[in-house]
Amino acid sequence: MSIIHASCIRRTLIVDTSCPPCLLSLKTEEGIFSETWIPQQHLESTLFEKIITLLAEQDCTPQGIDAILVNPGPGTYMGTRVALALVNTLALLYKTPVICLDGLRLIAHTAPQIKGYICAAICCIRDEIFYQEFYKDADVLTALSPPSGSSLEDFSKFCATVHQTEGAVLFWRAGPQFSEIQERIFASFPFVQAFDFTSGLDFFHKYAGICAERRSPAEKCGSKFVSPFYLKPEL
Amino acid sequence: MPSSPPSSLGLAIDTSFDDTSLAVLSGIWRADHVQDMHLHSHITLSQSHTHQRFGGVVPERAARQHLEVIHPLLEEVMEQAGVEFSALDWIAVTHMPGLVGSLLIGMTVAKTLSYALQIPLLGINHVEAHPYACFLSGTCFVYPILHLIVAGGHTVLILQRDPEEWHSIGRTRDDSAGECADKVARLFGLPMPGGKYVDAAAQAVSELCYIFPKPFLKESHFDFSFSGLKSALQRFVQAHPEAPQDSVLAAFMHSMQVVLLEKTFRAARKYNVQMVTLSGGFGASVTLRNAFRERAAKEGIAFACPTPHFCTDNAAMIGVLGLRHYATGCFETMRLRACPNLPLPSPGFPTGESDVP
Repeated sequence: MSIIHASCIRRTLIVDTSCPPCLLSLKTEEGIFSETWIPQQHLESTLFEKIITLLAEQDCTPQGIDAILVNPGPGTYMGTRVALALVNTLALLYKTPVICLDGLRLIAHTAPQIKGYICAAICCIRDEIFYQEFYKDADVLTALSPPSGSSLEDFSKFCATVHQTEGAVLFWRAGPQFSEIQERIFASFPFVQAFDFTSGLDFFHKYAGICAERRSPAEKCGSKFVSPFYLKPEL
Repeated sequence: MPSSPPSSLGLAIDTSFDDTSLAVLSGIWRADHVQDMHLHSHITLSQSHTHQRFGGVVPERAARQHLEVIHPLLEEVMEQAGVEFSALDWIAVTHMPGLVGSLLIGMTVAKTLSYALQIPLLGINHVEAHPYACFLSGTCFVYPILHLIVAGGHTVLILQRDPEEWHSIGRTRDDSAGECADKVARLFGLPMPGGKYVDAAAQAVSELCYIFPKPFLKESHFDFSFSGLKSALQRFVQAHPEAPQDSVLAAFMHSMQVVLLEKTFRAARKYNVQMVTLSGGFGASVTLRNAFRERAAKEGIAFACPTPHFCTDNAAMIGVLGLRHYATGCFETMRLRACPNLPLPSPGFPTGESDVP
């Protein structure tokens, strides 16, 4: 794995289309420029329209990007794959380093509590929840379980077992189409908050601070290209 | 004296179904052939073994596999071609028809390359590209021309009176020929894709022992329907389990061949075409190719088919059509979308038979 020296990185692109809302962000020496959107359909079109606009506005070209942060999932299969097809192609063309974000850890990091149990969850595929348990003490996050995927029904049962835990927090990221599911799940936790993107420096630090904590499965297999993180490997 | 257009170099990508295919090729597009055609490199990685146990292609599995392999293959195809990305003039990619999840992988890679390298993006209709595989073996088209495309998911008859005009005059109303052959092969427990086993049986049997229906043979239109033939065979096998497999498959193949042959050449006579082509995965069938060649010779019509290697899904044919799109300025924007179906009318197939002037 190549080591990226922070001082060399002047322009960083962040791509997260793993789950709505999608995010595209560019950090330059002048500041951080972000866009979030809810893709209705045809992500393959909207992503490119947005990336072209974002880079053009900052007078940047794909070749001028020094590093790319990408969320390889868990998330929507198609959204994750479109992002990885894009960043892996840029990596191939310009040898741009690609760093995987840990989507569930990112959600847990943004949870507001200082100390205690956190369940980070993503709902982006109908009747399927991806989640992971953490313990947070100040800014240190310790994973209590590996990432898991389960049906909505099983996740509801799981929530019922942890809701007695003191200070338990569910931090949640979901597409707008899953609002009815949220209501059912939220009843199990004393504190629940929906994850939302915020633009600006604070947002970037959250992202950058937690990147590269988990390497993608493909990297472990020796591939230099990033693979999606599937919680459902067997079809 | 008008200057001749320069040769262009392009990269073609096809991820429409279960094969990841990439090609680098160059040439000069002419109306009836490609001048100085050079296929610099061509790689196709089939996923058939990974779908074998499911008895058909699993869309999610196919999309995952495409993403796993496309970038290493892209590196490989460029290395084999001995060209730098910066030397490319265009990128051609299949955007219809196919499995959406699979199409999106190739399209995203192509769009990224087009955007980053600032070269034209060419959107290719996979079915339309099949006959153009004939150009890879140096064939010249003679217009008017009739194309029978027997691809995995589609069976279509296309009339092309000149290089810019396309008319779909017939298509399958249910199963395509190749799809039907695959299903019949599966009925006998033969591996996928089963078309080649059906074809092998037809070659091995010299005398027909059974007779199966020949759907739509007597109809005046040029549409096809093969699902009834498949059902007839299914019922026959249930009633006659002792019937030798090869003989049954040969009789099935014969029915299919008669329908394809008769309808194609009836259309050829009606529209007075000078040439007939046979392409698409099922067009690799030796039985079908021989029958078409023989019949064309008898009727005094020129005949062409791609080499068997280029009948199945491949990026080289996408590249050949890419040469045409590039030469005619048919460029796409980043708004190009994946389309799972073959809409009629569509850019490649503007009209039905009733609209043929």
